[in-house]
Amino acid sequence: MKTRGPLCGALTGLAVLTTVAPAAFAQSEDIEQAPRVFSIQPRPYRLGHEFQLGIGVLPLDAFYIGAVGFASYTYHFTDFWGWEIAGAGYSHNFETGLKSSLKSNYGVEPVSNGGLQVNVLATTSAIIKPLFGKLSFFNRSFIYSETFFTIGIGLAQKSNNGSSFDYLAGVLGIGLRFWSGPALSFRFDIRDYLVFAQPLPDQVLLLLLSASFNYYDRPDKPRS
Amino acid sequence: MRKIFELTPLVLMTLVVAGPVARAGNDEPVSPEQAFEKELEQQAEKLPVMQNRKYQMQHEIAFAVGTLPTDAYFKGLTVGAGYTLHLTEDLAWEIVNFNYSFDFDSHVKQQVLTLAVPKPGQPLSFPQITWFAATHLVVEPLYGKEALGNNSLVHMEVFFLLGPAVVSQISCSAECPAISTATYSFGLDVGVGLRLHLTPVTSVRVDLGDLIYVVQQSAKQALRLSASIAFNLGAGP
Amino acid sequence: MGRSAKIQLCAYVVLASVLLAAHTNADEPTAAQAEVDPAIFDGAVKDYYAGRYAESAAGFWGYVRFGTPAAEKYEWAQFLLGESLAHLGLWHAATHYYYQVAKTRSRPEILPDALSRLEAITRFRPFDESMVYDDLLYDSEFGSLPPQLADWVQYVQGLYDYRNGYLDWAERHFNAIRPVSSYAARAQYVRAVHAIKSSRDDTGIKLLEQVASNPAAEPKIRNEALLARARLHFDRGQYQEALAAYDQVKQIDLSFEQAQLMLEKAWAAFKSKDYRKAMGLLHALYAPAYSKYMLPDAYLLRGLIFKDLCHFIAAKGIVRSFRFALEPTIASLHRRTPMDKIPVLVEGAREQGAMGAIAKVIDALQNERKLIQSFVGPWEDVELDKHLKRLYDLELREQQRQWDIGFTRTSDTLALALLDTEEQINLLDYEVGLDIFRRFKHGQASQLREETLTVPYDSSSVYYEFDTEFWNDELHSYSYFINSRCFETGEEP
Repeated sequence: MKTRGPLCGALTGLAVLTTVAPAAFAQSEDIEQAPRVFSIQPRPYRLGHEFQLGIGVLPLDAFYIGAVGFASYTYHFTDFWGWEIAGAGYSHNFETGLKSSLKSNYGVEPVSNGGLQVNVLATTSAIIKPLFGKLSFFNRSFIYSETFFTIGIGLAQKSNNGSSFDYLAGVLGIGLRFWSGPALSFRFDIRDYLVFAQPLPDQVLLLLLSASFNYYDRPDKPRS
Repeated sequence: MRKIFELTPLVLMTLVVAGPVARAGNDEPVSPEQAFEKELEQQAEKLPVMQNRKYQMQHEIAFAVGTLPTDAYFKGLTVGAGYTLHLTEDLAWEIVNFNYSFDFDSHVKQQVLTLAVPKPGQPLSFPQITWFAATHLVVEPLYGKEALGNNSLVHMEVFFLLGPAVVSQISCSAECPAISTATYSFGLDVGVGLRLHLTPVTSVRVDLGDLIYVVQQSAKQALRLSASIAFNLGAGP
Repeated sequence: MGRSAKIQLCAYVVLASVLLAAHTNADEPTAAQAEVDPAIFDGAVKDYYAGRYAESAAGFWGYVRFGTPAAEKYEWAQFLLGESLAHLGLWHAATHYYYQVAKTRSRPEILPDALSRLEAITRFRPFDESMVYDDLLYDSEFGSLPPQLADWVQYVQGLYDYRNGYLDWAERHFNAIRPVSSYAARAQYVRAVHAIKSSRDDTGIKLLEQVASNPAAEPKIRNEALLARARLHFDRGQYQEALAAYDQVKQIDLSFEQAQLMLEKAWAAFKSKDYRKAMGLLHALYAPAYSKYMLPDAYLLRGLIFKDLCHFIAAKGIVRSFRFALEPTIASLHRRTPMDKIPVLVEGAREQGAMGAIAKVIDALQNERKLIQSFVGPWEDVELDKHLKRLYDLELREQQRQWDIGFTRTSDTLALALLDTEEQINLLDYEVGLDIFRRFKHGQASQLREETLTVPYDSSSVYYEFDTEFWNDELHSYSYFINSRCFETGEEP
């Protein structure tokens, strides 16, 4: 009995510590999780019907460089994704001078005039737009920007010596858009077309600069 | 013709950025009163866009892998490193950027080696870049953020590079070592890049550039593309 | 007194008068009144149009100093001296010479130019109001002026009549302002302020709305009108209307007024029970541009919100940070330290209202005075640098005098506000202590609600999560996602 006092006190103290301590620890855990702060701003520009006109280049082929005129129409279902219903580019090809260089330096000529050259690229693609933001210009003004991805399927027409052939093509792309106003934006796209002329697809890289004209006709849509 | 089109991507990128940013303010003051008022307006403090910028580059060391994809006779796989001193938020000096190219014969070169008959005593040779180095003035006019799915942020920067470059070339046939000794050519390197900030210390860069250099009094150019991981020394947590 | 003594006395009086007249105008030379070589003026004009403003200022000053007001191009020299000094960034000195030209009005053809410079300076730069408004414009007739200048003069004269209680005269001046002028909006604002001061709130609100919707109103005046309207709504307990009015105030700078606006909006949001918006606005006050301003109320509001949402430890943290930040100042007040020796109060006085305007003038004068040193080379010979330093020193003394007079009143107000806030913080601390240990009967309190934060990935709004960067266009749109931790008892917190 005489030892009960201190032992009891110790046990009680231990009991208190074991019950209080976890609660205190749980509380301090709560404190450390600071609330999140967001700036919630309505999107200043929203895409609806987008008409794109652009110029681009096919830079990779050794025998020719393609100067591409490109146009497309995209319907944007939401602010996250849209459908480039039709996107088509016509390539006007310029010789690189390699043929004459091969002839003069090595005395050889390419078979079939250097192979097939891309004339037309026509695809239908999904556009996914997960990124929207703004970039400051020398910390004095800012422009709104958007990063988007393209994935699609279509046709590539290649030709050589007057004969043209159509091949199935897939396209993957990434693009950056800078807004000038609600109706006008500028885009830089990098698109990689995989042309299935053979089992192993050819790669056709398109670098594209475009102006986009936008018409947004859904004013009654509530903002989320 | 190739040169023009290989420069096009850089021009395109620059135009995309410059277009919406350019101001149309062409109002020339027509009276002394307007000129006086304009001077006062310009002196008034402009509201900056942001405060307490999160990512401030200071001493940047970058390690890159890249490619020289457009040469007809070789495709280069480059590895490189560079050091950049960021003088202000908008201006930097890439003091040195060095890239070594592991060159692989292109399909065209392989075909030529198979088909071409070399002249006696004159083996076939194809010039290829072994390494190139440059120093750049870097202008970083654009810095900002994009919301990724509204749930997180991606901080990015667009920058432009310009500076003198030196290119080392050798002539190779079917196999290297080189048939001739290395030649050094001087020229210019111009480029545009995009940086994605991951942490205050690390970022990822994608550079698209064009090396323009003079070989035997004729200008040559090589498009280069690289991705780097960059470390920002001296940055706070 | 004998005849000779009288003659001597008269001679002394005449001599004294001559000497006195020779010293009254700092610009008039003490040397003999010689005709100035016109080549000095011509040379200075050449320098001016070639962009050599320091040299042209020296030339014009030489002409003014050694010439007389009767000299052919005296006023032109004064005016062009002002122009040269303006180009060099010495705005107060330029104002002084524009003022001289406008005051003497001996060359009517340059009067509009001088006035237009002064009008532009009053819109963009800190300036000495008593010199330009009191001495020059008020109670002066300028004859026929271009419309913009006439509107300005009428506005200033009407404003001063309002201040002095001459309402009829004031209205006569204001009615002479063209409705399309920006000064018409300013006049309307003055009328609105007077109506509110006279307890005619409804009239005041109507006038403020007219100012806010006036397309000719400058952004600053429009903001002030919207702010005044918002404050009226707040005072009447119409918090939603107040918030709507506050939301229309544009962010044009990062001044103390903008910080105060944010705090007032936060109070309005708090009263409307929109705690997330209130905390978001308070969060924006952490931006570097605002964190230097003295806003003790911000601590109180944060503490109140944390208490209402039962974040007691956070509330206690706010009490501690208030004491850490302001306890030394409060201790100084308790010790009866002179107010001008308490840095927080001095800085607080410099931030707002009339004292803020005087502080800006003093800062500008001090900066410009330092600038004089850069031009000592071309100015040393003609002693223009000495003259300008004397001019700036005189003005600095005057502005300091006005500061000292106004500071007594302002510092008292600030000190009382700070002590009042301290009391409220202490009360908050006590109430938080009570709330922590508040008891509920078993079964009385229900489980607290956990509201999960869902951020839509596909949304017509963009959600920028805060990550230490403050973008100035976002400062008014922060939302602080904080949940209530209170147990639901059906009672109000």
